[in-house]
Amino acid sequence: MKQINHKSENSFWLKLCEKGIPGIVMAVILGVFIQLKYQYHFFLKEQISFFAFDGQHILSYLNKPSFFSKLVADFISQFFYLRGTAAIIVPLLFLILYFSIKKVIQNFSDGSLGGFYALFPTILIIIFVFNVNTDLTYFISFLLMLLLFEGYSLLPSKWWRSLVIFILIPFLYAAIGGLVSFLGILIFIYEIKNNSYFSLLRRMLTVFILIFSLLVPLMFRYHYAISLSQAFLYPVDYKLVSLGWILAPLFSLLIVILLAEIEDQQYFKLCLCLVSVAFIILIVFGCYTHVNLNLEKLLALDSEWYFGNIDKIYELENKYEYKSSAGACYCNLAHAARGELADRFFDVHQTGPQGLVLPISNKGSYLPIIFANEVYFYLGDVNASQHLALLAMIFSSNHYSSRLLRRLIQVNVINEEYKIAEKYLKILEKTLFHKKWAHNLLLMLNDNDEEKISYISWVRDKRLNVPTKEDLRQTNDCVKAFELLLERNPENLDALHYKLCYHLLGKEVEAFANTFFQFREILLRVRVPKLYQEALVIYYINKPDLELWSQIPVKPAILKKFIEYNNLYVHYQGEGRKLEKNFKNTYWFYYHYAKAEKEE
Amino acid sequence: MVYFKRCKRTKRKFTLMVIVFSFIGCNKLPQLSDAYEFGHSPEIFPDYDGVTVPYNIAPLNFELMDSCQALFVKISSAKGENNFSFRKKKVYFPEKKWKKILSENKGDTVFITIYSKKGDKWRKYNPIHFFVSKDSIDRMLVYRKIMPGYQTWNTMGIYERDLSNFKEKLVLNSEIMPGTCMNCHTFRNNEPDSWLLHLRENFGGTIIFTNDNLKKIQTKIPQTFGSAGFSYWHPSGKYIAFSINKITQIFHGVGKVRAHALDMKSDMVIYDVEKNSFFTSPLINSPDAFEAFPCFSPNGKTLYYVSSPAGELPQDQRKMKYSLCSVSFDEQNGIIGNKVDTLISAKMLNKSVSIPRVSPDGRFIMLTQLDYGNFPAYNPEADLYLYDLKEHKMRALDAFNSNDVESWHCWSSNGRWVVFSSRRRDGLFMDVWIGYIDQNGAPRKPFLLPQKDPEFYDSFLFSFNLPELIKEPISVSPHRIAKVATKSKGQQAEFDTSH
Repeated sequence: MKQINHKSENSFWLKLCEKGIPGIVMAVILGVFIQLKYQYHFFLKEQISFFAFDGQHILSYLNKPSFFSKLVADFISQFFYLRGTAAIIVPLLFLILYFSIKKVIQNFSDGSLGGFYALFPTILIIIFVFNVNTDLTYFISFLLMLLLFEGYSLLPSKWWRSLVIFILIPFLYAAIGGLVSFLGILIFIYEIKNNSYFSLLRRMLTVFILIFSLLVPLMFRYHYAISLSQAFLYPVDYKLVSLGWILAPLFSLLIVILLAEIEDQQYFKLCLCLVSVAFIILIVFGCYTHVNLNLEKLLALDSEWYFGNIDKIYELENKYEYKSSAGACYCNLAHAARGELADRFFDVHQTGPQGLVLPISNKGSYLPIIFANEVYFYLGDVNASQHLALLAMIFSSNHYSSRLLRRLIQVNVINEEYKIAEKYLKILEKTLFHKKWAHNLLLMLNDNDEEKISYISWVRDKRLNVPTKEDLRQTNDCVKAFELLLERNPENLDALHYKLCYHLLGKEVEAFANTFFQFREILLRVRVPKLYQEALVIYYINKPDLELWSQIPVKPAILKKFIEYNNLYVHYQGEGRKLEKNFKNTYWFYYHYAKAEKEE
Repeated sequence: MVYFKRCKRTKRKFTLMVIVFSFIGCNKLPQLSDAYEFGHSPEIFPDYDGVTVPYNIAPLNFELMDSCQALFVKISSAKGENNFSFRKKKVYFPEKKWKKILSENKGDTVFITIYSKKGDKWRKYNPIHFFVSKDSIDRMLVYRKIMPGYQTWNTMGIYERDLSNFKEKLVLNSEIMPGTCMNCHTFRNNEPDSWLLHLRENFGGTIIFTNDNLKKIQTKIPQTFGSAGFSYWHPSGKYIAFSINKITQIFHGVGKVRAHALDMKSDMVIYDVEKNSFFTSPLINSPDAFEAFPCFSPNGKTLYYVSSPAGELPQDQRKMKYSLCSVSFDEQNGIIGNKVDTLISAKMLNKSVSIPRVSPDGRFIMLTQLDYGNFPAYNPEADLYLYDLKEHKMRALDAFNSNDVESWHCWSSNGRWVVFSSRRRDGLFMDVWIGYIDQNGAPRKPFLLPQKDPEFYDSFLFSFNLPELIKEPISVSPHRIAKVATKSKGQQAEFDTSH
């Protein structure tokens, strides 16, 4: 009875595999995961990629190998602009790939577990898509390579089949890149397996296909002016993703083909167990390497800021604990947008001045450059924002970004540099999801309707703040930027609070106090935030004789608390942990104990 | 059934013929006799009206700025008439026909009459014209393409463009040499047989090609404060004059001047190509002055450069005004003269001059005049000027200048053409402009580097830097350069005190 049950269980499992149910279940899990936990990575993929329905743009894909994969990948990526589409598109792609791999495995042998084996390479390659530095191109190349193999196997088994593929190899290299070599390997194995029917000519052609497919990248690297490794690895940038991960899906495909081949062997079960365990370890390690949930949380802040959802940022801030400077940067930005920068100072895990404006460097990721560009734009320093938008575009993987183009347009419209704005608008007008915005703006520029332009909310708001006094500054000289902004418009409260908080985060109490005194008329119009009062008390202790103190209202309760803090500080001999309970949210505690956190 | 199949086949053939004839019939003259006459010239991009072009230039394809459904373009001259039809508003001249038109009209004016179709009606614009010069331009143009992201080198490349057509070939780019900044490509007398370029950051060094030999050298020596920068070949190919600059970039808080490159310190040295050694003289390497942008006269006997009293930067930025100076040079013995002549005094001019380039006949020096500094790329007031070495007078090249930056100019080998960079189109992107200059130094209206697609500049997000004319293509492949650059650290140059 037990045996019958066992057999029926087996046949049920085989039926599920045959129908591809494991793949479908996995696709559903994937869709749910993306929707609930990983959608912001895909928003970013859209923001830093670009697809335009423009002949010149499309022709430019021909400049590098794998033009067709890249074209399809960019075309698909533009749909990630819409909320929820990534959770549909990625599982769909997963399913197409899964069934293609299943079919390829079946082409090699009649193994009944093809639907199970196909999961492994598919998962390995989909993990690759989750990496922040990759786009869909490798995935599409892989898929196209499998479809080409499928197409090849469907051709009548005549001598000209090999000849056709032999002739097509250079074109296929142009279309799908370095994976054409792997296609050659697959075809070689496939033909060798069926070699009982071969004539000498066909055997020779099969060997030629293999050799030619391996040589084509070498031959074409001169045409495309790329390095040796690039020639084989295109479309993947091996500087951004390790070679092991690029090759893992390819080897896994070969292994599962082999596994399907040995299903009848006695030692099959042992092999299956070993391979499954190895794959599971690899997949877990892959998830650990490529699926960055911490970055996802950060990208959530970034995208919600880009979409203008301040409420959502508040929600995210409450939900997650952001400990990086980039996280602090967006939380502070959202608070500033609500006029609560100083009031909610300790709601943010402050990491120092870089938690207000991220420092810029031309080494490392482009993400901090995008984030810093948002801060400068918000404050009104549009020239700095322009500089960073251009830099981010240069350092991003595609060097073309819909989001950064939008920013450059905004900056140039604000600066009344309409010719440059027009150039960017014409590019964006040819996209699917940004064309309406670009078209409307372009109409206004073409009509030369300055009145209409100046009524656009971001133009009106920013033009009030854009510095007008010519001065020079270094890239990371934020204080100079704040000063220029305040010189232009002393009522720019955002710039003022940023400057004050920047000094406080840098523990520059004197610079803070001087700024406070300089702008006291503006600051004293409303309630002085507790944070500022606490900082002023420190300065007061050092400079009690200043006449200005008569004008600065510091609550007696704060003064009292400060004395209490000082007494306890002396009493505990500066042991921070004992002070933390009562004084954690005071500037004095920050002043004594805060350290810049390690970056995520 | 058979009849039906035949009908289907005939129908297919007919459709094919219609398609074929619609293409062939492009040049067929439409009914234009009753075309409405606008009475004004058409607005086209790029603007080719009134320009002077070399007879070996690529087709001047353009786009009509008015909307229309079709175009009919009549090219006429004393030698005859050619008609072209185009769908929509872009004009693409066939290369062969274009070459024939230009070669037939050397030294003559060519008129372009444009008819545009809107609805069923044809409308005629007043003809525009261009002049075809008998003087050819050097075949190749070498430039660097870089995104106008201030000073970054993640994405850039040096390319050579065949000016007689639209073919562009890579010299070296950041894909082959990741993380490497490449700049200052310089050629000897517009020849591709001797040239150099600098590499910075990854694989840093200077690549020199001479006598069919490619080598990499390291130019930082204990006697200088930095590596060699802006360069100029001696006409003999035996020497290269370098300025050593400490350039830093600074940003403007406001206005059209987005950034500024500050030359914090500069000196000059001369490199002996054969000996792989540098020598200098206190006259061009003084601690009290900043000397930069060297340039040899065509006979190799004079070294021109710009010089300013030393200053503290960035605070003295606007006080830094460079004069044009010269010093004699003995090619045989490699000796720099002992007397400096000031040809243009910045003090008297109250302006700065930079990038002197002597015309191949040795009569003129073309240079950039700007309010301050020596790096004109970001100074909107930077304009091109011509200094007459015979009459010792300087005059503005008004026909070449605009309200934005003009700089980085280069003479053609026959001295009749000048290529230069300008941000005049939009204030951000540097484009290459080509202008004719006659034997008396009179400039004519320049034209934008022609591209196959007239809309090319609408979506092109790179600037063209440092345009240099050469007679023939560079014979070295990008991979050969990359191999030399990446395989070795480069030979260390020496300092020769015997001069």
